[in-house]
Amino acid sequence: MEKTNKENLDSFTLSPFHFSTIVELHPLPVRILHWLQVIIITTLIFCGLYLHYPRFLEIPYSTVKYIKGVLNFLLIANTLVYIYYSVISKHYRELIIGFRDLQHIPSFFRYISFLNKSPGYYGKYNPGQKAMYTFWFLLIIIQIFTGLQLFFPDTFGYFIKLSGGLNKIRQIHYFATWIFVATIPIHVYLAITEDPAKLQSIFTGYARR
Amino acid sequence: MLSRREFLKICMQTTAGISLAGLLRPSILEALAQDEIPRMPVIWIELGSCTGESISLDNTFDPDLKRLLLEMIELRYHWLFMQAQGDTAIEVLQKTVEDDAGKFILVVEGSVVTRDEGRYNIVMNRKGQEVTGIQLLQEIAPHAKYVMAVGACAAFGGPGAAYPNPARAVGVEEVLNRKVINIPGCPSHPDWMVGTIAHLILYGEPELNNYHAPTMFFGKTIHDLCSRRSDFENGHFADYPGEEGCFYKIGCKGPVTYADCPTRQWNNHVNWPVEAGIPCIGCASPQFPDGMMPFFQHLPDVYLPGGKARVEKIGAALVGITALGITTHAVGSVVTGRMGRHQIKGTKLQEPGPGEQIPVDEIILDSLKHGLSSKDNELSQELLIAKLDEIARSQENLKRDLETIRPGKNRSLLKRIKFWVRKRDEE
Repeated sequence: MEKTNKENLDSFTLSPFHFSTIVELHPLPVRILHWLQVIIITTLIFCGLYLHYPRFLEIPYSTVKYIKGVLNFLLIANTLVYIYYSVISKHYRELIIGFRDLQHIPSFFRYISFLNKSPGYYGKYNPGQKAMYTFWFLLIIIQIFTGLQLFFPDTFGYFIKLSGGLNKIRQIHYFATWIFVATIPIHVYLAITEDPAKLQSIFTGYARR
Repeated sequence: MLSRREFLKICMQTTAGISLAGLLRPSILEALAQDEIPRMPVIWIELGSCTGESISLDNTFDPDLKRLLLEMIELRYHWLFMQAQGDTAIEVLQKTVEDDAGKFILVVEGSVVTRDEGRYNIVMNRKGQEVTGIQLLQEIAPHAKYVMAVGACAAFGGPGAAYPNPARAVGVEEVLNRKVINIPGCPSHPDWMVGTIAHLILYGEPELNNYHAPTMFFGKTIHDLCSRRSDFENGHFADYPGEEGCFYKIGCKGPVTYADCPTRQWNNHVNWPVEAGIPCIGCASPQFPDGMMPFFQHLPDVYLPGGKARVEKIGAALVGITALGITTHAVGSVVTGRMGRHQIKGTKLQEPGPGEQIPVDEIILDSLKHGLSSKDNELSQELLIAKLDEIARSQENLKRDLETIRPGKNRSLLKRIKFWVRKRDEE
């Protein structure tokens, strides 16, 4: 543990990675929101796939419908809180991909294709992560919107006509679910293998540097 | 005369086996006899269709319905039901359009064929000239009080406009600049047609939904009214047509189709598809039939450049690609030793590599964040403020330097050129 004082301030400025400190990577709200989202989305995916084509289980259909109906609105609430927190804490700047990330893309691709041994400097998340989180955010918005249309078809009649009828909306909703099913494993796999320190920090919040 | 509320109650009543016309007829006759309502002239034209709606109307055994229809309206032109023929019939049509302009109801059956100015749909021969469907429609429709499109074809294109639609058929509303009352269904139920005409005569335009179909008949989904709804809720699903239980799994379109078939019942109020052991195909849906096919699947196929595919197949393909990607990356990680390195040295955060370009301001920001967020730092607040001050001062100095170097507006052209040359030299 080096001491920070006026003498080594310059070295602190220019090489921040020589410090051995404990860093807070994920504040408590982020952790809570993240794990709530995990529970809600996983349950919703399983319930939704069951509702689409009921099989394997011998439980009443209405029970699954009820669970999904409740979790739908929890997802909306949780997403709204997430948006609120991200905007207030300026966390969205690290989550949403932007033009600044374009310069990092070559080095990112060099890293994931094993040409570079270590990742470049990207800030909290690398461009791939940012792209995926932005994509998921848009996907959740689509799911919420189509889901509300299916839940309240009389209220959203105008939008239903605009997007080509209830069956089309059902199809979009179902397809978006499959995209979730296909992309979540990437996140889980990379979270487990890429950096165990970061994996630990989504539970505890802190990581050693 | 019936009040509108009572009328709607009769129209939406759920007693199976009793016809709508039988309930409506006495009061409508009474109103007609007391001259409370006029007998409206009706022109019924047929464009590109199978005459399904007329047959549906004609097929009914219910004597009340036919009598009611003929007592309630003056059917001036209907190529199937009228006795006149040839020029006489066309003269009557012309006379009605001219004399009763703004008073008559125009009922349109069949889709409007638009390809080659509608020449694939000749509906009559007037004074030695062939008249196309779209021409006749656009001629008559502006003079009508109400325009009713009966059947899926007239309302939304329907089977006539199904893929690949060689005749470029469209619904009636798309070629007219006025509101059209749509009565979907393939075919329409006689009660739907007669009930809507009765409402038009008695009270004017009925309440319409977003697709301009009367809500008294198309206000609820088949799913909501279905007699097998309890099977759906309890999870009793049929795997094949004809079985007991809900047909949800074999593609019943009840949940997305607005119609009152379960309570209305077809073939003179005898039965309807689900009770007969076949899932609903959604013929009253605006997207019928393309959006409802395949009939024994939930969702329509996705049309891709290479052909059509089911959503499940595309989803499974995406999952496969993900699995392949993850496997490749895992193998790569193991072979290059990245996996082992990360798992062994994993207690510390990874450091960025040396070869990469690092934006300076981001480093400063990051170090500041570190200083703030690290748990056991000994960086006092004063030092931090001093540091921030320093950065700000250096930035301001830099800005001032830049301003002195940059050619201002008042500089002479020579100096500007000098500056430009010097800049080039430095580079």
